[in-house]
Amino acid sequence: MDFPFARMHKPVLSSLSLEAIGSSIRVAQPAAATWPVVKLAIFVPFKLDTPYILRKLWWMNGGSVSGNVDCGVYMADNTSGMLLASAGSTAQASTSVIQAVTLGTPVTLGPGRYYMALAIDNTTATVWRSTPGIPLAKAAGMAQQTLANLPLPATATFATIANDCMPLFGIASALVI
Amino acid sequence: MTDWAQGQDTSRIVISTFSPESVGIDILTSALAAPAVAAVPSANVAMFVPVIIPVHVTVSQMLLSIGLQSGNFDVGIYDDQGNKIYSKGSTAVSTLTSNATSAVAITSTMLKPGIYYLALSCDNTSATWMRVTANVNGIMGAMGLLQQAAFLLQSPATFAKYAQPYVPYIGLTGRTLV
Repeated sequence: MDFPFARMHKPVLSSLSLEAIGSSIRVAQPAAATWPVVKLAIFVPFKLDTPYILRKLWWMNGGSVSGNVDCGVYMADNTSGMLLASAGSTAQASTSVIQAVTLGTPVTLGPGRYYMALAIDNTTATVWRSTPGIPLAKAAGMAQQTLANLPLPATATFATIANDCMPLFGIASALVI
Repeated sequence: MTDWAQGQDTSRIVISTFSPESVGIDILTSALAAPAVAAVPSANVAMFVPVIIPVHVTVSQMLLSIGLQSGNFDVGIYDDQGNKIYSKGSTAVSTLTSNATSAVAITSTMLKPGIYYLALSCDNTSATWMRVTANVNGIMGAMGLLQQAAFLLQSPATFAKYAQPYVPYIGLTGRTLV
């Protein structure tokens, strides 16, 4: 017997996964860079075809760490979204590795459209990111919001993406990442 | 009149760590260089690559692709909880054909739909294996790869964060390939 096309999701999904926008923004290999704007939140759309148990939120740190990071998942309404799960304001720690936060209680995401969000409160922190160009980032559905402070707000207000920064981050159902 | 022919079987006959069912799409979207042979970064470290098995299927062969022969390897299949479903055991790399893809016969194993890990370990850094590499370890961790410091595949596995810039090619099929 052979293998028909799968609709399940792998244990780790990232902003570059098929479920997100990786296939829409084919760019050079990600590299580390400073966060572009203080307290900027960047939103990357993704979809799920089957239920997904969300256990961890993660991002890929660069060679220097600074300040606080928050990472979360929002419902994908038209111009705003409701926060479903987040890491909370978290001190960025450990250079050049994936930093992951385990949710106190796993959240089951049903089939549907979502945004994954990453926000950092300073421009010294470095994360791994791609630079698709602002027009392509917008075409892929990315959005942004300048926050008053971390943590991520309960309701996001999506604004047009204006920074050429597609961070490498995501969600996981895996217990280890 | 239909435009698109219906009823054709579009199932894949081989899935591998480079397939969409595994991390193939992630490899493409990360703009990693094309696959080439290279030694594993660390001897005696089992590498686990996630793969989706979409339907009940009986597999009978695993595929490996090497450059140079040296030492021994182990290859196997795990479920998403780290339970070992099958492993070949310590096998001489010399049983694989140099500069070619070889089929490794395994005990016919029925897999239910779900998430699995294909695992490979090697006891030396002289044998070379078909792989994709990256400029930082974390990119492979972001694809869901895991590791364990062990040569012989353990049961159960103790998964640890992936720290190798290396996605090995491991294939899986229920057919006898020519």
